[in-house]
Amino acid sequence: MIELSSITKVYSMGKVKIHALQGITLHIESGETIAIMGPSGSGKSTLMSILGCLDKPTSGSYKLEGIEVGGLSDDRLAWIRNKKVGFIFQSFNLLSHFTALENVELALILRGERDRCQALEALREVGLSERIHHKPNELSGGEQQRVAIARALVQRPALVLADEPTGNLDSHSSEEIMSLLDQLNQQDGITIITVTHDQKVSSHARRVIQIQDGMVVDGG
Amino acid sequence: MKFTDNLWIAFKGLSANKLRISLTILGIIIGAAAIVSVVSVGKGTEVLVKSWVEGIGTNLIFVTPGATVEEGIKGRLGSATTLTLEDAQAITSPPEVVAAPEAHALLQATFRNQNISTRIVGVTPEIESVRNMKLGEGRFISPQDIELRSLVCVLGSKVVENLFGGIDPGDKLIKIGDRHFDVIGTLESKGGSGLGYEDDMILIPITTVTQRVAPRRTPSGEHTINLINVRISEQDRMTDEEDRISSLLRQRHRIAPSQEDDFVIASMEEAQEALTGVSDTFGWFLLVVALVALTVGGIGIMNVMLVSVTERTGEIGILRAVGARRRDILTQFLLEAIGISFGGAVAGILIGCGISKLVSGMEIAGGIIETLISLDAVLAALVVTVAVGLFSGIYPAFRAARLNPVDALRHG
Repeated sequence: MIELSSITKVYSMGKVKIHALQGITLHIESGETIAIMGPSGSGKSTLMSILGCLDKPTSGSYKLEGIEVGGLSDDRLAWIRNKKVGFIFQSFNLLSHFTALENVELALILRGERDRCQALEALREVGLSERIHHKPNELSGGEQQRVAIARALVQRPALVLADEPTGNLDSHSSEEIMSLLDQLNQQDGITIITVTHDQKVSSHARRVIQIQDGMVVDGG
Repeated sequence: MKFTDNLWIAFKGLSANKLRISLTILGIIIGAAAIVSVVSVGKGTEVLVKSWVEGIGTNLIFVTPGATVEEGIKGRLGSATTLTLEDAQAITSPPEVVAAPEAHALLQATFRNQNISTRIVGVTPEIESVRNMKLGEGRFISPQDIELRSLVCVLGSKVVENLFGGIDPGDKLIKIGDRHFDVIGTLESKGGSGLGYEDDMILIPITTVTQRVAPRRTPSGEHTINLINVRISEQDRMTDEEDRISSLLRQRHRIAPSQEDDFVIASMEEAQEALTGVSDTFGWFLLVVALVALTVGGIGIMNVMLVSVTERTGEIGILRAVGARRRDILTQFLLEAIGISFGGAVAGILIGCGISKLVSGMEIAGGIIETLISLDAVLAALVVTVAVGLFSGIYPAFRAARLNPVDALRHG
């Protein structure tokens, strides 16, 4: 499902060039659960951005479900993000002036298929039926992350990318979120890639990929 | 993404920042209100001037004395004492040309314990037809009154009101200056069309002014007057008549070809043009004010949108991550800018209509102004303000759309 070969990413900070990724080659099957681990600055987040089509690699090839992403237009990348990739972030990244329901609906609105029922169904699946009209600041951290999961879920993506999904949560909420992600993988066959520092989180994954200095050192 | 959804997201964005947006909107409101009210008051003034001119008649020529020249310094127009009763008689050539001279005096008029200071106008019987005066009660000044220099008067409607209250003024005696005058008649109110001119004056025989109340003579012994109203029966002979009167007066006043006129001839048409010109100039000035307000409003919108783009970088990142295209972001920010200006335009137009309604019915220079809210002005205000919003929104919207999704998420 995911074919990365010799992916590099170079950032230019003024005159200094930062080599965030230095030739990553990975093969990920559909339905896998993967944890990407590594120290700060190892290139985990950059890799996630590229996997999520938020950013383009400097060189190398990235095929997502057979589509070569590198040469796609900005609009096409947006389409892929909307149809194929769901994001879950450490800081939840919900729109603060939208209710839980509106935040979930947003993913459908952007593809021109506003559908309240689907959004309600996604919120029911994450157990938030009672709180659909609450705004993010009226919800607990765990609840906000569940809204984010519902937003990813409602897109019916092939791939969910979770960037430190439990980083801002207590251990109880963390457990809930991780079992929700497990459920997504088992019920819907969604490929889940999680970036984390946390051993408890990575233990949910069937494969752990270790990254250091922009290179895969283990699990590739 | 559907356009209605774009609108919905833009609306959500706006309603999250109510205070800031209502402050931004002020400039736009003032601009739109100014456009609508200026145009409506302008149209009302136009109608007022037109009705005033029609009330007096367009085929009128006014002859006034020129300015005095003393040691090279020109005095006020009409300050010279060159025009005489005999000039008026010379100008008249009935029935095509009828001249009605006026001699003015400002005196106190008293009836019992009421007194007013008003303009006493010495006239001949011709003034009634030349200035379209309508007699209310009694009779007008007669040729005999002129000959006898009678102490009789005809009162304007406002004078009757102020001096007599509810009492019937017929055959009463009023004191003007230190003489007693018999009230022989009253004039009907000319209201809005009079520009406050005719309703507050007292008419007496012109000879009574020039020979008894305020005697004035030229060095050659002729009686001086202040104004000659000339009615020309045919509108298209106006220019010819102006020329004829001019050369006649130059001849009578023995003015050498190299010298300037010692009198001024103006037609009603010119007076109308001058009045319309004044109101037009004022209108243009206010429109400039409106445009300045709109420009300031536009800058305000641009500033708020730029701040908003910076502040909502994270939001833009989220939208992009979930699948918004650049053009969706562009549309959203443009719609927000247009939304601000459109809201301002609607509020401004309503306020403008309110101002126009307030002004309507007000007395301006003796006339009642009826403002007209024109659809043109409303549409113009709407189009201009929305264009300002669009223009101000373009740059911030491009900045928002240009943001890289990763950077937007990271900095948000």
